[in-house]
Amino acid sequence: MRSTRATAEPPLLDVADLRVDFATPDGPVAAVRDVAFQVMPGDRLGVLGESGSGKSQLFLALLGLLAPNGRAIGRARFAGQDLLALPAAALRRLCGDRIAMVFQDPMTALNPYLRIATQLTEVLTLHRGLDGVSARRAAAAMLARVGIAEPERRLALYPHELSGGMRQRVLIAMALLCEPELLIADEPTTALDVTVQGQILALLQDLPLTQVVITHDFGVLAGFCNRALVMYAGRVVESGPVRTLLARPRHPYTAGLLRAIPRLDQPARRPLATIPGQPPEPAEAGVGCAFAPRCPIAVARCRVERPAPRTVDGEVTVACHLAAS
Amino acid sequence: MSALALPEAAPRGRSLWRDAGRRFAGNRAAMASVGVLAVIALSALAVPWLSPYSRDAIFWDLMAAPPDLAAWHPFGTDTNGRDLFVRTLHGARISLMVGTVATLVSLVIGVTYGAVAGYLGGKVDALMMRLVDILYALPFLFFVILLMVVFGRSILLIFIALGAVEWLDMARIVRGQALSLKRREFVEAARVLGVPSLVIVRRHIVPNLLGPVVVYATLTVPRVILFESFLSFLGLGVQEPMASWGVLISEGARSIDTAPWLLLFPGACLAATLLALNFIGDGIRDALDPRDR
Amino acid sequence: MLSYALRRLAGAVPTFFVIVAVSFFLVRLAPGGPFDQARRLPPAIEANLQRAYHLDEPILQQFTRYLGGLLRGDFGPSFKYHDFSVTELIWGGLPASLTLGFGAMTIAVLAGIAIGLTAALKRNSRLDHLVMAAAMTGIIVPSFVVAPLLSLVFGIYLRLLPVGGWRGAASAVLPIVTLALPQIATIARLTRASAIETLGSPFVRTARAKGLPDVQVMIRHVLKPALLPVLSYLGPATAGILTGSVVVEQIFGIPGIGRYFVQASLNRDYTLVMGVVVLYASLIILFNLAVDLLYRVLDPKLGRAP
Repeated sequence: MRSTRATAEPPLLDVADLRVDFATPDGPVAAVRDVAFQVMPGDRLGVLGESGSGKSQLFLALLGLLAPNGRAIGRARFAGQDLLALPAAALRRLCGDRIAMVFQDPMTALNPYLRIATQLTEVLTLHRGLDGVSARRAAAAMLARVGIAEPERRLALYPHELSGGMRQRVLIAMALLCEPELLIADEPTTALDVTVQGQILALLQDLPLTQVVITHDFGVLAGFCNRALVMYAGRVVESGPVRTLLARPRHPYTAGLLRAIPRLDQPARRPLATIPGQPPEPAEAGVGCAFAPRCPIAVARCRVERPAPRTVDGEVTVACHLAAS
Repeated sequence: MSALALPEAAPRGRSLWRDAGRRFAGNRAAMASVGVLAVIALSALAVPWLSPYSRDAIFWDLMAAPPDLAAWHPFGTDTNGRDLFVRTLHGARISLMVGTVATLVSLVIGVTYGAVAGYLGGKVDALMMRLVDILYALPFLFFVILLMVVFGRSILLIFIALGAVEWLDMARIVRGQALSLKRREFVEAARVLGVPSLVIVRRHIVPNLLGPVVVYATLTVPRVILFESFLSFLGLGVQEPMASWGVLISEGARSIDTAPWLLLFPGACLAATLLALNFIGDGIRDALDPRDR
Repeated sequence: MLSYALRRLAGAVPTFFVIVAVSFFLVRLAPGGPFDQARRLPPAIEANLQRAYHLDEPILQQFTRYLGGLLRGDFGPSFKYHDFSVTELIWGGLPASLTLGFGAMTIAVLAGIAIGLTAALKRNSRLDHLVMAAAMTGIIVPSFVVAPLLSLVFGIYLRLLPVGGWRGAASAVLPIVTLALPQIATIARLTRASAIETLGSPFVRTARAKGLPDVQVMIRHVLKPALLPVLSYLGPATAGILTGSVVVEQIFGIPGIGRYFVQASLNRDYTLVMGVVVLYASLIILFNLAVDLLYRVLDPKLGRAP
């Protein structure tokens, strides 16, 4: 189910000038800087980046889930409201109800001391006011919908009594209970076996809602998403339709990542391409393009002037001095 | 030598200590505690230079007198007319001595026991640890008191008894470390390269054990000192004429309404010493293994 | 579950045996006997006394006799108070000691957890640092320093509470508080550390992402995992309170078992000393076992299989 970009419709999520800072004993550290993007209804946005690129913190900030020393500034409009300006109680009403998030590691994302039933029904009780019996019934129905057999029996279990794949399904079920408009999945397949990964992706595929998938896996991007956002060192370096990005990456980082994917159609002896160097520490905020030290085509200008994102070819936004117009 | 160099743990160990030293120096509470402890220890050693009076000299006309700096009685005198300052400093000697020696005793017993159990592993280890578990459940305080009651109050016995009480935790820690170190890659690598066992132990295992052992030993000292004061307070500690803080506090407690300084000075010294030692121990632990608190 | 409990209980038996044996033989090894008093008794009477207390029998026989007595709950006669058996003396001191012990434990748990949770929620604030520094002091400063100080302040200067004796509820306040203080401090530190760790867990983040209000997150998701380590600590805490009661009863003049123990030690009343040691050791073992079982029941990860 894909929808073409309906430019007349308002975006479901509209983020602008987003910045996330953490207060540390050594001073403030910016994990996310100057991020702007839109998610249209029906989109499947893939957010791509290495660990430390800020991709997770970005969305944690939107839901008010940052660590106590974190702070988010900017604007994030969801269904007409600015998430960052909402009072805590109003934000909590949205979370789990209209926006839901599924976290990375199913091993640890569920409370090991509570039964599955409790963890599922509390969402329904909270947001829909359902009583215990109805909530339990709805939970069982949702478990069945995400592909868990014998849902009634499973409800009474504790998380450690389920397999990894089942736990991930439970997490997804938990997110879907209130039929959210936007589902954010943080690396939904990373902690799972390859076969299970496919099943989970198929499950997500069938869901008729707008999704954001945070990942570092190009396979997920290619098979699942229609739009992509590439992040590096806390900033968006490239964004656009997935097809365009894969066929013709504009930013040297994206290009480098694509080149680094081992390919079956290349001779086996060829050394694997890598991007030399390491991503910068969040605390190192220098001048110029953050990718310049590792960039194969960097010029002098790149080291002193930070490239602003600009639109290229109508659909692609890229932050690079050298991206062809 | 071959092109493959042995993963050299020693240089890594050195820079670890230097890092730790820097971190410790930045820990204000710990550094202040070192200062406090130094003052107490030096005063205890330098008693003859700090006061003209001896431990037992009785001032017949100054029974339970309040502090009087002019007459060289900064802490006042006790109910028997003896100068409290001198007695408190002698108490410091006893406490520090007992603390160090008993901790050393527990260190020797605990480290040996734990290292043997950990390195040998298997059934021997299981048996040795079972013994530790049994002993762990015993209320040692009562046994020590029993010992004191039965064998009389000799300071040697106190050293040994207190040391014997505290070695269990040390043994557990050392054994845990030895077990985990045994399986680490650099030990396996060394073995594969043919490095003899003894050298492995000396070069790889011991430096990695030092950290937790030092931390734990530093935290054991105040416990032992407390234990000894406890015994003295109950009348089961060191004999007269040696004056332990516990005895002084016990006497002070009895006269608290008329002469509160008799409790306050030795009590404050004991509390300060214990606090300082704990801060130092915590500081060493944080320095060696910084964790977000 | 039941078989696990029985197995653990069976495992505690060797420990108990060791305690009794060590106590017994230690006492018998003591130089001099219980009847070495200022007044020398005529040999005939002394022989009679020896026989009455079974001190003329071979030592192993005495040991078996003592074990038999223990199984019947009989600790033997007091060597000092010739008219009383140790059982009677212990029984007499029990009410006071139990009041102190339970009171202190209850206060320690309630206050310690409350303080620890508050400090965890307001982590790294001034309040947190203050509370933790106070806790550190509470753990370090010995009860025999604190007790007289409290007596001085509340009993003598402020005249609010009695400084000693055991009459009326007011006289229990200072001893219970003194006994509870180091435990409050330890439990507070433990709770704080555990709560901070739990609050940082991924599953707490999931709960918050579901939109649950903070109060509900705390009560339903955080409380149990955060408090389980405190439960584990209750075993050693009991041991600590038992030990502490020795000093507290002495200072405040409370007629409890702890004070008997001290007096008996000074009087060389061996059977009484032994009786108290065996009693305390048994209590500690039983309590540790109870805590262990409770922990297994409460932690679903440990599974119910025996």
